[in-house]
Amino acid sequence: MNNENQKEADILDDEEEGIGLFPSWNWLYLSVVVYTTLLIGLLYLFTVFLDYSAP
Amino acid sequence: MSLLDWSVFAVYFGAVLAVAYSQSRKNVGVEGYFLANRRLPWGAIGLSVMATQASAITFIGTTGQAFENGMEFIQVYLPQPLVMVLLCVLFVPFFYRAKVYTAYEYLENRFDAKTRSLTSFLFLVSRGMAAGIVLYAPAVVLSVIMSWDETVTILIMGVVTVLYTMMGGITAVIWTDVLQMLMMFAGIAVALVVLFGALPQEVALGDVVYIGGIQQMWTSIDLSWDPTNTYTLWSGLIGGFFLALAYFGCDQSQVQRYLTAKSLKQSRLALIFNAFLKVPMQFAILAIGVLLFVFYHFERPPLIFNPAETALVQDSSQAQEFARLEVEHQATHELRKKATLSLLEARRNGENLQSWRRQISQYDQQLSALRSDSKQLVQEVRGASSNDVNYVFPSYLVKYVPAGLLGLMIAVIFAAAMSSLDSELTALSSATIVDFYQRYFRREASSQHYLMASRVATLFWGVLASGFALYAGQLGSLIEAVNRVGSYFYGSLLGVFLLAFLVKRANGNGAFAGLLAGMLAVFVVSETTDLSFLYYNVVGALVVVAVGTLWSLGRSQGAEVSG
Repeated sequence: MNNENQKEADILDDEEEGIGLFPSWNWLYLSVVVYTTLLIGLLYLFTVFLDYSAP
Repeated sequence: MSLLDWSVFAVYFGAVLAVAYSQSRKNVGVEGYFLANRRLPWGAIGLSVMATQASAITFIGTTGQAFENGMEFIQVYLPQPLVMVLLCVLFVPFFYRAKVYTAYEYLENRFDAKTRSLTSFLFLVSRGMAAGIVLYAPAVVLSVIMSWDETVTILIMGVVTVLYTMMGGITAVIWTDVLQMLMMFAGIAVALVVLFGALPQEVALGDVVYIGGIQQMWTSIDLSWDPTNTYTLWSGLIGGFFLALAYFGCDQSQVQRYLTAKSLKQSRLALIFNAFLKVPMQFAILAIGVLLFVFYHFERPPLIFNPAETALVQDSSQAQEFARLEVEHQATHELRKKATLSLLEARRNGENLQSWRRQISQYDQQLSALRSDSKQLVQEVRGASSNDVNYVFPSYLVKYVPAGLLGLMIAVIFAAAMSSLDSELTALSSATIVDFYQRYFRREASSQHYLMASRVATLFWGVLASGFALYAGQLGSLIEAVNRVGSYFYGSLLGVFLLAFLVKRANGNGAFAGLLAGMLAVFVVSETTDLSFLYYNVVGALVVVAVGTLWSLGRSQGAEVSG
């Protein structure tokens, strides 16, 4: 039972601690969302500006 | 292939077996065989997650698709980073806390045994046959392109993969996946560099981008709202999101990977690693296809990329018509090549490019029409439609890639197939033993007994997959049926897990009824509408959650009233 409690505590610690440059997991998740938005934006720019089809 | 190519090939197989052997000794008991005693680092798991998803068809099929239609396929992959975040927040903590061996085991803890058994059974049926296709698809392409015996190709891949998976379990699988994924990265880089180097000296990177742009090959985002079209941003973001969530969150071949991590943090980091890397990798693979399209402006492409189909038409009553198309194709290609070089010259001199662009575009359309006509001939001779998209990249490799690198690229195709197959074998084996054998037949036995049973299960699935692959050529539309059946229940499976995580009052009967209703709804939608298959997963998941919730609430209220 103690092991179970310890494991649960480890999991909670895991969720609260910082990850590298990011102060928390939520900031890391937010960076993924921003990254995805930037990717879509970049691909949209490709679509618009690299279209040289004849008029 | 030259001696150098064979040597590269032999080094690849030697390295795979050496890595598998060195890692296999670190496993302890059945937990070691299926979960690597929960001690693997995130980097290895992250690469294994990627390698499992990237099959040989990712390389040979996706490049061919980009050659034909440009970058539009990338839209299906765009929601994957967001899916990884949702997995980290919702799915992984539940699995990790439950300390389960399989994703479906969690469903018995949350609901009941019948929900667990049905979901696990559906996984076994679909993945068992899909494992055969993983072997068959590259083997048939390599047999045609390299003139290798299809049976030998299937057996080499199958036997080696089964051998190291049985020997080292998930630890060997994940570390060989790391090697295989690194090879795939190298293969992508080599393909891009070699293709670019094969272009005429005066063609710069900007010219490549420009030539591709004339046929809109860089068009990556389609904002139109058409749910029957798979390749729009909305189909990708909505349908692709549910598909990826079902695959990474409910398919044992992926869930098993992040259950091997030494902590919850390591599991999450492995998924975040994929969130950042997957789309750029897919972009690079598709870019190979677009580069091939540009390359074939300067070298004449085959009219049909599948040499077996070409030979079939040339030996038929349509041979004369095919020869006429060949001559016209050659002449049109020469005209397009000349116009392309003239356009590049005009571009360097700052002249007006409009008339050259128009000419090249017209020649592109003519060449495309000639390809359609020749495919029509193939269809008439074969009695089945021609699809040579999987042959575009391999036929280029064989004809243009220098000795040594050809061996590397063929080894990469093998690595892609084997890294998917090994993961499926461990997943199938774990579901068989944990969800059925241990659950229903031998509840109490020694770890040694379960370990032996697990190895036997791995062998069983390996033999079944290889057998299916050997006979797949004669099964015809059954392969299509396997893929179709898979799409019927994938979303429904996701719905059961969403019900488990999100609806506290949901119960086992509700989940079971929801699962059946979800599969039925997907069947009806697929038979009565033209909706893109990507949306099947949305329909399945939402119907399961809705029916499961209503059923659970209705029954519990009924129980309260009667109580």
